[in-house]
Amino acid sequence: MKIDLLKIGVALICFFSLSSCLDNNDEVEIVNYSLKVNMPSDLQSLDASGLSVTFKNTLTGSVQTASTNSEGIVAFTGLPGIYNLEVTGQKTHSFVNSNGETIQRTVNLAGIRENVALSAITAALSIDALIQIDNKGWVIKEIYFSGCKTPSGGNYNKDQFVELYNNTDSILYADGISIAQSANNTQSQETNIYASEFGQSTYVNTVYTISGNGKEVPVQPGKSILIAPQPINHKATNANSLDLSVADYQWYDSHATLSIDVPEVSNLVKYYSYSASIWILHVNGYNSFVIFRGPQDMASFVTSNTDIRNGNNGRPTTAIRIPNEYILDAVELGSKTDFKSKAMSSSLDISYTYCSGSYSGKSIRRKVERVEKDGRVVYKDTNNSALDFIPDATPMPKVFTSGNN
Amino acid sequence: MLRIAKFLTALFLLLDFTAEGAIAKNTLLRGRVQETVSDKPVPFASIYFQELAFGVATDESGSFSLETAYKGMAHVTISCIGYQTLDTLVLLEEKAQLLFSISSLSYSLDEVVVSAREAVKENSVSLIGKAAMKHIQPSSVSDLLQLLPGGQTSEVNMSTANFISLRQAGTDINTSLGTAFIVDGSPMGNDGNLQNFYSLGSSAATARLTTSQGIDMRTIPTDRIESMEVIRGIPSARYGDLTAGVVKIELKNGETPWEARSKVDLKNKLFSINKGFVLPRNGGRLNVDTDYTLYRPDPRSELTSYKRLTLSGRYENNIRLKDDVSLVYKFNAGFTGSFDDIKKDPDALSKDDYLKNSYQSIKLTASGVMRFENHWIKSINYNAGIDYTADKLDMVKRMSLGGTIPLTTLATEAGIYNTGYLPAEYNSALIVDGNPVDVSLNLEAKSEWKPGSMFHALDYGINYRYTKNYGDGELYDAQRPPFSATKSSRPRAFSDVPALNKLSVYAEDLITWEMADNWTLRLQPGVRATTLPRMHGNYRMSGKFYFEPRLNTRLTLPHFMLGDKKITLAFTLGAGQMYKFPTIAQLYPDRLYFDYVQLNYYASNPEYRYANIRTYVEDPTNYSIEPAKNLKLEAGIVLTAGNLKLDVTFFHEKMNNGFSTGSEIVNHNYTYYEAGSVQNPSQKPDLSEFISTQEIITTLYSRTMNDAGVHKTGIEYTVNFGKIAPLYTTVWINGAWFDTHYFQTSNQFYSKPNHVINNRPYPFVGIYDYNGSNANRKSQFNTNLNFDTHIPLLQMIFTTSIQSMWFESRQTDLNSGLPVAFLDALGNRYNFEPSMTTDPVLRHLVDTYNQYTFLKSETAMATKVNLKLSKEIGKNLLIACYFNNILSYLPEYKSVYGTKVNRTVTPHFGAELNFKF
Repeated sequence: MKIDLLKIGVALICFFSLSSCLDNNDEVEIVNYSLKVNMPSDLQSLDASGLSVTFKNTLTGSVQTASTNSEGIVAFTGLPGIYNLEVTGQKTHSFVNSNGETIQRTVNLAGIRENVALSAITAALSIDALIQIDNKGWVIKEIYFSGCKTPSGGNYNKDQFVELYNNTDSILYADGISIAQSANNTQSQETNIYASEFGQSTYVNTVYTISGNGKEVPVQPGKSILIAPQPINHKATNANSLDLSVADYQWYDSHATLSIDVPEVSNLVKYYSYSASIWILHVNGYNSFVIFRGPQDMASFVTSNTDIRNGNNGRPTTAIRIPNEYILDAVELGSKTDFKSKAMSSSLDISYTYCSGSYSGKSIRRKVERVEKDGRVVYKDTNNSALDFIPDATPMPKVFTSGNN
Repeated sequence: MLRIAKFLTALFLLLDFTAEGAIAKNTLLRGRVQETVSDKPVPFASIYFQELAFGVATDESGSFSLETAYKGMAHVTISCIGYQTLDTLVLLEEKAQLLFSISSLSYSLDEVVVSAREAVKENSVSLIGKAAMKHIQPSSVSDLLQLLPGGQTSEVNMSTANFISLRQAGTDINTSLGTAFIVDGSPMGNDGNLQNFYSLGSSAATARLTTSQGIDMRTIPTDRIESMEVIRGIPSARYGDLTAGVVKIELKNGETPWEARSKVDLKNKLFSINKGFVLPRNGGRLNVDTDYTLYRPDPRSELTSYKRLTLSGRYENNIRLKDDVSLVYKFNAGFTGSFDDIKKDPDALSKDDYLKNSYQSIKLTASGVMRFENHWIKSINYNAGIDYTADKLDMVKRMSLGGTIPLTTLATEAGIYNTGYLPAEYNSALIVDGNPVDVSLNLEAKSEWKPGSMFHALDYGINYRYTKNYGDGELYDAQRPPFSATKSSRPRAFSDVPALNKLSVYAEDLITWEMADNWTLRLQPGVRATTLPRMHGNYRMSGKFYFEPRLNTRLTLPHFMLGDKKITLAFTLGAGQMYKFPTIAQLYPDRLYFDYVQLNYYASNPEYRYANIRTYVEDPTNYSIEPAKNLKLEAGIVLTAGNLKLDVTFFHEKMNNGFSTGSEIVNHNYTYYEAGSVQNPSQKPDLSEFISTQEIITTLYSRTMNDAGVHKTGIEYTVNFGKIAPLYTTVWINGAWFDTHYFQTSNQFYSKPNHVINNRPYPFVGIYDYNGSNANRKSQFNTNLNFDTHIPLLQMIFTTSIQSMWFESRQTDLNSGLPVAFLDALGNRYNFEPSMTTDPVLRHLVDTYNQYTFLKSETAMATKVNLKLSKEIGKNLLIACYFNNILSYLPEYKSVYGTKVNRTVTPHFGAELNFKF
């Protein structure tokens, strides 16, 4: 459908540029256009004003930003072309919870539409603004999945890490948080077999959890939890690699012959892995990543949410269903130029981020939004990883600076 | 041994009895073979009498003599190097003087056959003569097999091993392993090959493996071949250790000029040269030849190549030992070198990696035929061959483990061991050095007997085969192994693997019965018995005899006239049983090693690091292995009406115990120590300091079984419409309908889901009455319509072959997807109830399929046109070229998935030059 629109768009633009050339010699016709932002169903009653809408021309790269009026409509004036449209904003609403209390809540709204052809004859278009998940202060600060090369050119991938960060000004507890990767490969040509349930759930094929009752592993504001499959100083064996001896946790597949257990570092509890041997992140980053806080009894949660259905190859595929409300943060990962299918709802991550190559020694790291007076770094979190993350970043385990790559 | 002796005595007593009648009323025949145009005598030509199952050769003056009790019409085949083979009928009677004229092999003469012919025999045999071989422009024997019914011209990939398929849609290893290749009476062997290293981890190496898969046809060059016979039907009892068929190759013997051939196409470069000398003063005949082939699958790249170099010398001479005893003796010596070479791109990072796979074989054969006149034994054939092969896989692989891991491959016996860690990266060198030696000794005698109206040509003999591998085996540093996995291997010397001995005796009778009113019945009953001497008593095969009864018959009706056309009609019928004995690799597999990491303590301080493993050793030998047995049935009709000749054969072959790889189940216990549980991490810990748990793990491992079912059904047909004289064109059709069912005959298969439940490997093993979705039925139906235009005046042959595949289909056998039962880690067996399909753990045992899995997928028709041209220029130069797939009709069709399928083929071309000087 995307491609069809694109083709029609290009054809139309060609036609109109041609006709405008004929009419007005070298002048290009400017289109005036209006776009309607649809508010989420829970917020229909609210005034739709003040949302920021950007129009990015995919050909020229030029960006225009406009703000919605109370009807949620923005006016656009510019060159005809193919545009990526994006809406972001914040709204506060009140609702009555199950205890009968009236609660005030501020939610982030965001929505995206890609490859939209804008021309004089384009029919009226709209964009849906979705309520973005509340990460309760936890963000994925960095994921280093690509691995690196050894000095002699061999592949090295067991120096991967995942870093979770307390993005608030108060103590948060890390125990009970699980890390997981999406069951869907975003580079897959096939239909995502879970796509119809994205609104409610995300399907993952690994679940590794920090053990504890939820009050055992305090994390100070502006501090992080570093998790690695091999929390050792990798520089000792591979000069191109990293020192991960500072890691807080290891995800270790016990009984494994293909990895090592570092006794000084606690292991995550493995509740599920698709792999019968060891779990290593996809070095091209074709599996997206989520962190979530499940119920205390994770074992029965995983058992009761085990989903077996036929994959596109006709064989049973097992995945674990994670309700979206459990998810603290998520980042969609994929190929830089060839992202094919989303692994999660747009309300978790509107877009995606990437590393350009496997074994490139690069990570994806969240951008710094601001640094507080006390030196605490606040990372940018708009649930839009294309804006929030630095692709092809230099890995910085346990380092929090505003350096942008 | 005693049983063999008894059997032999019985056999000879029987023959002694038959001999009584044999000497009495013999006819002495004399004859001559001469060249058609010049009437010059043809020395050393072979004259084969089919009814007598016996052949003689002409002497220096082109004369021969034969004594036989046979009287009546006989089918005779006269062949000689450099001449067109002649099939004819003669009347054998008292004092007959036989004169045969044969034409030299020249396109300026009328009779040149460039197709494969059906032999006039009791069973189905395709004959491929010299002219046909020249015209097809082959690189190896693989190209020639495209002439068989059901075959189509295709580009042969010489960068992987080429195995034969016979009478089937699809391919399978039991057919390729069960086809005997016999060169000048001596069988080729590959049963001593042990190159299948457990974890090659390289598809390039696997594609070149031939272990337990039969003969790699790439290694057989064609330029030294005088004629090739492919027995598709029931082979004579003379041939054993086979289930599918026989490829019988006769090499050139006799005088030839220097002949050179040079072939070039996009991927192949081939050069060969041969010469046949006649040594002065009755010094015999000497033939020498050499062949060099270079194949590159991608002509733009020199990184992957296949090279073949062969040398061969053959000497033959006749002597008269006594007045009534003559001997033709022969020595063959040959070298075959076959080299695969794969380099990495010099710009690639792992540029040190390479793979060299070489096969170098020296074969020496001494053979001969001793003929006795006036004796109850007419002839004794002997053939002793030794084949010494150096198989070598030489590989260097950069092992990038991505990080450090425990080293598990040190212990060679079961037990508990402390071990260390492997570096993240190292170069691992692997050599698999095999030296199979194959000795074959064959002794055969022929007699005849004619009581009343039935003539018996008797053929009986003994074969002995010795196969042993003397190689150094798998050589690598166990500290730096070329693999990393749970189930692993250790270096092993092949010379420790026992030898395989096979002893067979056989007897066969070819009965010709001239009945009243010109009805002729030929019956060829035969039986073969094989035993494996010195086989260890643990094997079920030890001390057993395997009997292979075989029968071929041909009933020829009296001919009659229909208008001005002479009609002949014959029916053939055959049934036979054959055994292929397991190879050394199947009989004596390497032990399997299972290494469990009990403690994986990778402390930050290298001094304290501690890995402990428990090693189990399992013997996957299947002592109850049996030879694969194939039962063949066939019925045919041969009709000639004037110039038209029709051959149709219906066959059904049933193999229910072919070799296959099945799985066995074993439980292993080990202690798991939690690395993080040690109290004092500031010193090297002791095992007792860790919290430990006892683990039981159920593991599957594979072993050779006897449960491959291969059922082949089909109809093969050849119709020759004869020559349309004004167009100089012979029109003929061949093709086949094949329906082949590949399945497993066992009903107990194990499978363990590769899932993790609650942090541990899946706890159950399912028992199924089907083996995955491996069982399937394939069908195909094809017709090749050929026009061979031969213009003697232009010394040119031009063939157009329109090859149509009407359909190819494949259907997976239906299965329920449900296990019958399952086992837990303690080995307790539970029946699987239908209600368990929803159980969160047990449902992993259920195989589910999409709606397409069991549907029949069928291709639409495909027609391709191939052109071949051969032209002689003068007497000494022949140029030939081919244009394959020059036209094609490949209609779009809808696949079983509902998608439209567009097909394309790439035309390919080649040319060659043949000189004589």
